[in-house]
Amino acid sequence: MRKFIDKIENFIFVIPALAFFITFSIYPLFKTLQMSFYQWDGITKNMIFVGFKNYIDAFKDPVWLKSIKNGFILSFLALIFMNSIAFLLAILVNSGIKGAKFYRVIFYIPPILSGIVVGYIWKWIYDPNFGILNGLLDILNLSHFKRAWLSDVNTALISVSIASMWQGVGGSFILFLAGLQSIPEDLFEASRVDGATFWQQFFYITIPLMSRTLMIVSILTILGAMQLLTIVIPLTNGGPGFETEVPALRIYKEAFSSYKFGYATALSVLLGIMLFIISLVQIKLRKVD
Amino acid sequence: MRRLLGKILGIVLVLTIVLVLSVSYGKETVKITIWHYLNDRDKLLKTLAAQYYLKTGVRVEFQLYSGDQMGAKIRAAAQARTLPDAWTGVGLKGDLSRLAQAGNILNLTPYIKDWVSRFPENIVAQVTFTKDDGFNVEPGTYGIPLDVNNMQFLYNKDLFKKAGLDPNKPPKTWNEFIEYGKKLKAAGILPFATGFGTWAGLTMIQPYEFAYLGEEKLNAARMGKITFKDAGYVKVLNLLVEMRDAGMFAPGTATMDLPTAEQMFANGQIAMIFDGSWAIGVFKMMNPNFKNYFVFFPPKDERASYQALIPGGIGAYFVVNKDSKYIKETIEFIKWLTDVPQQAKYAKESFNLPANKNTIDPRTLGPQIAEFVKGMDRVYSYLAPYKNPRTEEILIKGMQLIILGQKTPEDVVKEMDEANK
Repeated sequence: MRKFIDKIENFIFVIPALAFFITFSIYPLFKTLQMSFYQWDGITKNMIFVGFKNYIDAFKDPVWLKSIKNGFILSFLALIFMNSIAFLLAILVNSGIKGAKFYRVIFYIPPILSGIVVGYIWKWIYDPNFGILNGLLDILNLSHFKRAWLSDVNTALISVSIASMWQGVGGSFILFLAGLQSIPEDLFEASRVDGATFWQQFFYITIPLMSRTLMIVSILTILGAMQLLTIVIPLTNGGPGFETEVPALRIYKEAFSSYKFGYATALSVLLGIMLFIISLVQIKLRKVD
Repeated sequence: MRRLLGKILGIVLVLTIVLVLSVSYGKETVKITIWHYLNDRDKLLKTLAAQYYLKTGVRVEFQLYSGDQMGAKIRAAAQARTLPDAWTGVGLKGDLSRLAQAGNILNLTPYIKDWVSRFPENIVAQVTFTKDDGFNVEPGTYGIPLDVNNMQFLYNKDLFKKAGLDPNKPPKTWNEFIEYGKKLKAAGILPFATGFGTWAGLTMIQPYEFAYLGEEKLNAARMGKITFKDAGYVKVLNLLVEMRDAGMFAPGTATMDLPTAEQMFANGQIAMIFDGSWAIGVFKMMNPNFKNYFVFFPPKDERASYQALIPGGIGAYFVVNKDSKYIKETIEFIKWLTDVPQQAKYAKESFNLPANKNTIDPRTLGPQIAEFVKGMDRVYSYLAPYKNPRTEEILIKGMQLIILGQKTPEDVVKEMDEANK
């Protein structure tokens, strides 16, 4: 009896947190799933049940598929270039260079800026007529490389990617730095005594001990790149054509421009499932390692 | 005894003070919240609201939001039922009808029966639903107009002169327009830009949609009754090809937003822009020294059979939240705001055409405004919604790719027809 009362007591203490979780996490999730089976304009009360039609349409929608493809390209570029730069910077700062604290702060400024602000900063940099990038090319006598970076179908996505990597590099840098600082120094000392070179230390101590951090950073990078939105709106709004269309922007436009709220929620569910699977695969792969 | 009496009196005094304070604290003060997107008029609207507070004691708070994102904000707030007391409407009947059907906006007819005669009938008609108009909304007027506008081309006289063109003779025909563009380009001047990255690019080709297709065919195509191909829409998009081949587009125009194009025009960096009458106030805000520019009606294309009609009519207008706690007070404020003295101040300070026809003659506000006033007679009255709203996006994106030479008008028309099935 006493045990039962204890359990009830414990349960009572959990109720507020549970109610909060159900209201703000479980219910919206359920509601999103439910809405994805309806045709609804997002305002009127007229909701029509359409079964899996929204999901079937999504797989036939070339713009949605293009946005997914762009999302993967952005993820790939961020995984390779952004994380390499972030890792390099973290190693440099961790090596005890002068002003390490200063750099740590400086590198973390872009991630705390709003995406819209970053978008406008880079829009100004890329401006074809008066931007500093084309201005710099003029100064360097490289005028033949000048172009409308965001309006050119060949450079628009890369330009968006560079802007988003500039913002994201600080976040990965901080995580890498924390990972590097958690590696015991005596491992490096022992390896030095055994005559290990810098590269041997890097490949046989740093990388293996950083594998957990690398996995977390790569998951966060993919999640971030696939959900890119605020930076794209001021830069290109998905243009030219659909060249820089990204999944989150597509969902936003379907919901708020095309009045297809049910379809937009179906796209959200698909994106959520996709990101969940990617994260799961990465975690499983690490366990296999 | 005396001490006890003193204590009792003290307690009574404290209780009285607490009671008086709580009553005055709890007394409801009317505070109306209005969302708007009129970036260049934010300060003016707040000044007028402050005047109204001094006059009536009713607080009105104007909250400014980005024009491009305000539609999304309203739709999200409509779902969450967190709309403000009033807001400047975004879009016209298509958007309004959804909000009206969902019970988000108030049918203003009973409240503004006497007031509505102050505005031109064709302007009020743009926010009024009738019994058999197909929108399935309770008949009535759902908006109160603040200003009227229309969209035309504007040009920089100094840059025209620099290119050897007569600054007092803007192009009258499409051929002249293209020739002027070539001359400007040859003189090292960027000839033209507008907001092709957003909705504004669409408005530039609308006069030619009417000119080439005529009202009947254009609306039939938009509603999906005939294809855009059969309606002859390729000819409309070919105009962009002609502009592109003449080198008229400033670099980056394909994804440019309207404020960027406006800033370039106000800074004297482009010679021509397609913009609305509101832009006069915007240019003044961006560059107060920029005055030597003028307006011209979309140049006539000799190949087109119909008359070109320009976008415009009702400009900014207010709608009222059906669930507002202060419906009466909100409508009273909007009436005050659209009354003659306030409309005169609004027109003089913002250079917008006032909606109240009893206000000052806007032509007295300057030659550019006077030219825009002339255009009010050539504004189209009705444009059918697309059968599939995504067709509009396909068109915007297609126009961008035509400007870049990545797609042909035929490709874009084909995609529009596929989307609008």
